Amino acid sequence: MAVPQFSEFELLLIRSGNEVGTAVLLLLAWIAASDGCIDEEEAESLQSILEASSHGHAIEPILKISTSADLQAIQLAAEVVRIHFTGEKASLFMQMAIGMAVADGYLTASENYILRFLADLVGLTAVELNEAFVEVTSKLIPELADPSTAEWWIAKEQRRQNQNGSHSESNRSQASPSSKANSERVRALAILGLEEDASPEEIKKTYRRLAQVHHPDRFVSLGNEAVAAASLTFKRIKDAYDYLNGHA
Amino acid sequence: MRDLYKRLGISVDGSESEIRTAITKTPHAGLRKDAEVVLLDSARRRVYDRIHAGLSDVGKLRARLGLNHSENWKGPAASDFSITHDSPRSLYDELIAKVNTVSKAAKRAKFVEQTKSFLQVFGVLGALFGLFWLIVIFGDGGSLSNPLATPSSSSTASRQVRPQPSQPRPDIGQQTRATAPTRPVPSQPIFTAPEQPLPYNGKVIKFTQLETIAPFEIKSSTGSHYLVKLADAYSDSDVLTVFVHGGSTVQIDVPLGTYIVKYAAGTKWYGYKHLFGPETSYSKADETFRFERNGYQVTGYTITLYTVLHGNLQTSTIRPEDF
Repeated sequence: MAVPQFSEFELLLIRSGNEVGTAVLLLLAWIAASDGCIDEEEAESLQSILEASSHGHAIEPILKISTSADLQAIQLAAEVVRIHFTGEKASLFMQMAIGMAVADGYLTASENYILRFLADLVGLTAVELNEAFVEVTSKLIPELADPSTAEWWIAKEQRRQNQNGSHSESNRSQASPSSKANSERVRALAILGLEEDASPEEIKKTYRRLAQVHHPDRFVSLGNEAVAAASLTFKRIKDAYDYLNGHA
Repeated sequence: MRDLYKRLGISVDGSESEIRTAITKTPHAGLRKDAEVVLLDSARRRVYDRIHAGLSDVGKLRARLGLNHSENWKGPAASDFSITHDSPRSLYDELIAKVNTVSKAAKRAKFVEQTKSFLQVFGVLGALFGLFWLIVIFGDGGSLSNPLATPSSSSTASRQVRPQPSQPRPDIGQQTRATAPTRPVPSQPIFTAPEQPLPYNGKVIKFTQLETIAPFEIKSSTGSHYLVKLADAYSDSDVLTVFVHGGSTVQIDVPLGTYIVKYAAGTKWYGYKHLFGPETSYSKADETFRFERNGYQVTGYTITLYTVLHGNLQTSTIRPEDF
């Protein structure tokens, strides 16, 4: 009898004793890797999600598979997720994935395409995807960016120029603590999905809402990995709020 | 996002000059402008290529998962990055099938190992025991009046040549109970059926339509050949027979169910009607075998048709008509 060959991810899945957790982890890593690489912060996040889960394998194989764009593995993980996350769990899963994708305060074009793919995978309509996105970020899901147009690049480079302009200004003023604090503040506000001119009331209201949405207890039904992912998002939001409160 | 490469008719790893040529050739002014801005600037092209690669992956995944016509896949990306020639297939189903194959094989291997270790330890004793058993059988003249009362401790002695003395006609199946009480007189039976070539090793004849999924392995010693029969434990109706050549191992799949295992043994084959002729010996395992399914696991068995002292399978000789 011919002995079937197993791929690396298939072996992980079979041996993990928790196929949903392993599959979720790979999809999260895939989102993290969609901008070309998994940076240190992302790897740390995945590591802490892994530690929360009960399976006995290391993060390295997962990182390797997700960065090598192993489509077979990603497809397999997607199928496992599709089988297990239906109904209420489907939108919870979507919220968790959105939370991971917008962790750094904005959604890249690739992340946007992946989120829409995951929404179709678990059977969410465009309206339901938008609802989930609003729930997590209090904003509508951005229109798909079109980097195949000249306009997109011109707009993008203008934005960057403005940033560089303010940076070079701050450089001239010897990187004053106030300007550094300002960029930190902008970053913290972005994590809450707020603009620079947000009022303290707005910040408080948004934080309370987000804290509810990302409360790890909501994700218990999706398994330990989802709870751990939600905890990370929750902590990031709380840190941003604490920063804004302390530097108001 | 549009696939500029596809629209220009060039490959993703096309050189700058190829891109330039394609741009001058395209009749679409809009495409020309966008391609110039995006693809002729190496930094922009790098970013575009990365998003392009990610989107191509999404397109492939969608095709394989049957998500080409979904709500959240619309616009230029869907029209440029959908793959229509790739039909959906489930890798998860394939994985489960592979796991099933492997667990089946593993189970077989385990039984083989177990029987092997029995053999290694008790091989010599087993041979002696078989010899002893032969003497017992010849000694009481093959008591047909109470054949079930002579259990062999394990399996058949393969060299057994048990005469069917009282048998007046060649047709074994017609030997009736009426002849049983008469004290058998050893005499040469009249048997005229011609010897036939052996059926091929592992030949299965099924008497049921049931799907055969449970593994069943039969190992035999050299010296005799076996026709092993599975009969339903409750109805006693035949399920299948498998022919096993002496000194070989046969792996077959059987339907799920609870079965009695019987076997006929002999050296010369006279066809499925006469089996091994008058020298056929008939036996049956004293326990029933349950081939059952548990989740996507399936129970299987290995039986070894030679004497294993203290083996875990007790057998008894049976009358030909009970085969």
